[in-house]
Amino acid sequence: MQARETTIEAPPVRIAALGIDERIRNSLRLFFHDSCKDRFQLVEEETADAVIIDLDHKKGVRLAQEQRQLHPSTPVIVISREPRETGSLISLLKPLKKRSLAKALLRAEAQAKEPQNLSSTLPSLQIATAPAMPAEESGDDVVMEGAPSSSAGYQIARHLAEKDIHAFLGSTPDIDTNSAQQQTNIRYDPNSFFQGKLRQITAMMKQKGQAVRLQFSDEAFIILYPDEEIAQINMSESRLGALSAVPISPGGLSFSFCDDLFSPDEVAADSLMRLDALMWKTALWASRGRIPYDTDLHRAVALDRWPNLTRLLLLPNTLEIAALWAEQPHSLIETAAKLKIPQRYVFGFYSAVFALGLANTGETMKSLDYIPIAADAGEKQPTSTSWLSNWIPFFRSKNG
Amino acid sequence: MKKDLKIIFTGPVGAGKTTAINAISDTDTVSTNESSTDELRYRKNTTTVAMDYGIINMVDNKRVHLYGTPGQERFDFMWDILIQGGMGLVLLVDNARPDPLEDMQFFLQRFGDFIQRTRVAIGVTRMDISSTPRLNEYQALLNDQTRNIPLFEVDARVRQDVSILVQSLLHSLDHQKRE
Repeated sequence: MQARETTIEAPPVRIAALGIDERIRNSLRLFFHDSCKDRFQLVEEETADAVIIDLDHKKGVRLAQEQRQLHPSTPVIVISREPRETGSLISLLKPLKKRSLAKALLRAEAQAKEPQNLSSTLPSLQIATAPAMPAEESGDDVVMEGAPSSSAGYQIARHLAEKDIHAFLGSTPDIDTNSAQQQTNIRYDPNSFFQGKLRQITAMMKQKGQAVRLQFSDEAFIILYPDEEIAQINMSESRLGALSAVPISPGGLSFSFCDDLFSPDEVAADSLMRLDALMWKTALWASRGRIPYDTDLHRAVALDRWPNLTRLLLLPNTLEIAALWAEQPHSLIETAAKLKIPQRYVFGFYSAVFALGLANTGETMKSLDYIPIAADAGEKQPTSTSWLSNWIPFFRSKNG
Repeated sequence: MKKDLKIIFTGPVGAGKTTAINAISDTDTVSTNESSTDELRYRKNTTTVAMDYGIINMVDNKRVHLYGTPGQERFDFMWDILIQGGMGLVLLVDNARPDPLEDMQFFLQRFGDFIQRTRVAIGVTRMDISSTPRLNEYQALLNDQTRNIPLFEVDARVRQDVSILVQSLLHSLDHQKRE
């Protein structure tokens, strides 16, 4: 049976409105319908081709930063009462005018169709939280993109992005594997960090089948639920990071089993984290680009299975390392050489998969053929497929 | 040297193939949908009869072609045509269907020869609707496979999820052993 007919769909451009109340959203809907002939459609963030963000909302700047980080190729229109330094984002001043809003939407539509124009020059967000000096009045409140990459906003944003990576992967340069001192410096003891305590407590919890409450102060606590494999985290991200990044003294963590039952309706969604995501993240914070003490740098590593990477914190080259170890076991040193990436990226990833119990350095990797390679030979890619390597970074930059 | 890549999206009806291709395609997708039969109407209003097609434009005029197979078995005559020249397979499994584990097995078997020659990445969709079976149950079945297959929870509407799935396939292809 053949297809009856082929149609070419021309769907509306999907716009999400973040930090914008329902009344304004309704106005946008009307505007899209009446003035734009349904060329645009208001949708939820997950399905958007472009987003509009109100920077005057209390979470506006954060929403914009998250948007730029998670969806670097998605066009962003920001609106604010006063002029702000927004780099290459499309900026509109309040009160919004039909003409300028329409122009901004068309510009976002064009960018959505040519996302490489965005992502190639935008490694991260360029927003100053304080109002910038007003631009010269031009009679048009659409501020076109084009802030030079050397602008202060750009430099600050770049610095913050690097700080994020630094927080999880450290800054240790590649080591000389002949140096005993350098080998010592890149090791840590997971059991002395929150990562190790969490692993022990989780094991006990699963055995007992009962929820566990970890109390840090009157306000700060974490509840782990065994059946749902969910953690309810009642503390800020920065406090969790600080808790995870420094060793915990023996007896320095109190926990108790409790009869709490997981009740998603009573818990704010943003306080919930999957248990594997929590273990992954705490391991990265603890490791900061280092490896557990007993790790043999020259022993081949395979992945027992792929981590659920769509729901875990993704750091540079994570997918490449995972694919390599899933296909062909390599030692940590070989991996960094073969992929031509900093060793700390490999060490951090290893520590995270180790925390989830997915790193295999033993006999059970028999289904994968380990082919040792010389360190210097690791620089070479298989010629028959290496052309793919040129595609993947571009694909990643376009699609996040 | 090959200039273009062809990736096949497959899976049971309603798993999100059309949505996933839409999520990452640079062009308006070509879709050959028709109204669903009564048995399917409770799940979605239209179903793909012949194929979905989308493109990701890359550098130097290179492109990734995305082909979606129809989900209903009665149209499986298209599958062998669609996979010709394909570099790899993205399998989407709808976790809210009655037996998603069986669905996965069916498609892995149906495309077994193709997967053996190339690679597959699996996305489990609609886990927000039905949280079971869990990923470890899928993994347990995949242990019988000779390869370590990427398997993720995926929201087909979310570009980043689909992107990670496709990237895992591309990286797997890039690192595959010469066989």
